[in-house]
Amino acid sequence: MIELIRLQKSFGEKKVLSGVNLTIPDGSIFGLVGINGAGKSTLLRLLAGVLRADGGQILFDGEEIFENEKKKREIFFLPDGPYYATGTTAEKLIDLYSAFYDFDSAVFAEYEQKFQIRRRAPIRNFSKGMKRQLFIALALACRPRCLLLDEAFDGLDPLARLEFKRGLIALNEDNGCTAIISSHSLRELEDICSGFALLDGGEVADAGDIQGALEKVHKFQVALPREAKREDFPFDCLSFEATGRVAKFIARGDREEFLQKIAPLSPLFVEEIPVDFEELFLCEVKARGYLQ
Amino acid sequence: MKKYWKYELKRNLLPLAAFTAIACLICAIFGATSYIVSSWEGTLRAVNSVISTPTVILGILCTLVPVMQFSFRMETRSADLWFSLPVKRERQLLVRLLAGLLLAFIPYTAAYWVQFVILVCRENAFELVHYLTFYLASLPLGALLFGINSFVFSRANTVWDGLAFLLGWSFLLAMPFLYLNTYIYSFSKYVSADAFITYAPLGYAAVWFDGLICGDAEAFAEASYMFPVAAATGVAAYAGLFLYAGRDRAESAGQISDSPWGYKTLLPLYIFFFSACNSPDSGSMFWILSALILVLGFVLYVVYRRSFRLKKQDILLLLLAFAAGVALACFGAYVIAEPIAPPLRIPIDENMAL
Repeated sequence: MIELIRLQKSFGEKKVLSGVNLTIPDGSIFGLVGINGAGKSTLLRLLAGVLRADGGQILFDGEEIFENEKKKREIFFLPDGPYYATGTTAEKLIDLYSAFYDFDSAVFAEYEQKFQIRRRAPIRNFSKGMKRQLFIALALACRPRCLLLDEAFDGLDPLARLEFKRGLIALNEDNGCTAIISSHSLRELEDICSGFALLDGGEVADAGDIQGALEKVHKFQVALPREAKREDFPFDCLSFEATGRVAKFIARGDREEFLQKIAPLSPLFVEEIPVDFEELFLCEVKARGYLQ
Repeated sequence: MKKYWKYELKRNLLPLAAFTAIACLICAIFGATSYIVSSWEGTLRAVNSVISTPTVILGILCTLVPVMQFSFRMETRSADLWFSLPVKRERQLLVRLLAGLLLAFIPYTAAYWVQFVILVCRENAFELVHYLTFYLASLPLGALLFGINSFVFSRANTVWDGLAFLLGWSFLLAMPFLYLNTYIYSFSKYVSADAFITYAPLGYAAVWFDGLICGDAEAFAEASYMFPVAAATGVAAYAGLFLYAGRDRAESAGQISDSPWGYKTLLPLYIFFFSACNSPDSGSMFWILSALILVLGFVLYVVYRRSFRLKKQDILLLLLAFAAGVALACFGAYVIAEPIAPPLRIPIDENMAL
């Protein structure tokens, strides 16, 4: 289990994380979401032991991560733009990671074939997606107990995304690996993540189980006999839009209660539409004043 | 740790081979072509041991290798990689330091002995045993220089700042003695300012051993204070490296280098000493040099801050250092300065004149 307790981090005058409290259960695939600059990458760098926290604690199985060689051997951090020296090849990176992790060559070979990675070619000649595929293969081959992925799906084509998600799920099932993924591809996160945390203003604004969060909100499309207006709907909405007589809204609460409140408006039809994670995220950030 | 050490050695194999080949080639050329013996009036006499060539190579390696080994923490992406790996920062430092020492000393050793063999094959007019004693003496001196350069360079947040720190610290300890030598001419007889340049111990030792090898050496007076100072700064640098290793902040990579071991200290001190060495006795030159020192100070602060908008404290510090330097220059010129000796009057012997 990973516990973040009142975690704080500032860069000079700028406070990036101001007391993050979060618990990530073992074996979960956890999505870290937030707008740009919310502190997702900083949180991952803290979890990886790259940065030292200004305050609070990061506990992995009850032990501090920073400068803890034993615990860090179980953690693999794949940043947004992973480093490679000029002239480095996949083979040299295998040498590097083999020196620090129990590198599984068979797993790497499997992904090498799937992603068609060229071992001896200089990485600088790879496309952005190919580089990402290579580092994903390396990350999966290190068989970590905790995988930290920053902008995990960035640059991957749909097929590579699928392979990556399959690999992640396999690692999760085989090793009980906990994966913490920051991404703006919320549809991808919805596919594989069980839990999520929304970072905002240096704190966790919302966290929990993705399906649970989605079940708490409802999206309705309602057609009224007259022009639909916001005032017609006597409850708080996360989002509301009306075009003529048709209104679409997302609201948090009990489904039956909403239907009861809509009934007096004599709707011509009421339809419930499934809400996806991206819509929920947009509603949340809108509610926080980021989108007009 | 063992695996990491092996990896580090493997990583450095290619630069090691390249450095060794280049160093051996240079030393072989110098060894084969230098003028080493004089046969004036039929007596064969050694005049040049050519140990200056491997010594210069060692000096270059002790500057270049710390830059190679410690620049990883000066780029965010590279710092992210190396600091996320399961190895403590102190151990990482130790492994890089040891690998760096090998990377500096193996090419030097190979080149030194290749040159020795070539020289011995050419002529045998040297005190050969001193080739070995110089080699043994150069190892700790090189290691001290390596430690100082590693510490100084790793205080910076970018490679360019690191190089500027290396340059700054190379001469800083010599500056107070340069001031004293400027106003008290006889002081240089006792303490030489250039003995406090970080590269001086290697250079002085090479000159001295060159004399020993050629059989005409005199002990050099600077040894009594130069080597203890070099040893103390070298040991302090190694201690500082390990002391700071755990405190290194990955987020500083690529940022403004505001370590107290960097521009923060170097700039005011250099402005102070430059102003102090600018003698008010030199007439209009004093005003020209003063203006140049102030402009240089401003430019260096712009380089430090990477902006033309300097902080108030920077401008204040620049002016204070300059004013203090000028005050010390006045003190030097009008209070402690030795009077310039009157021209010597040589009595003319009339018989000789005839």
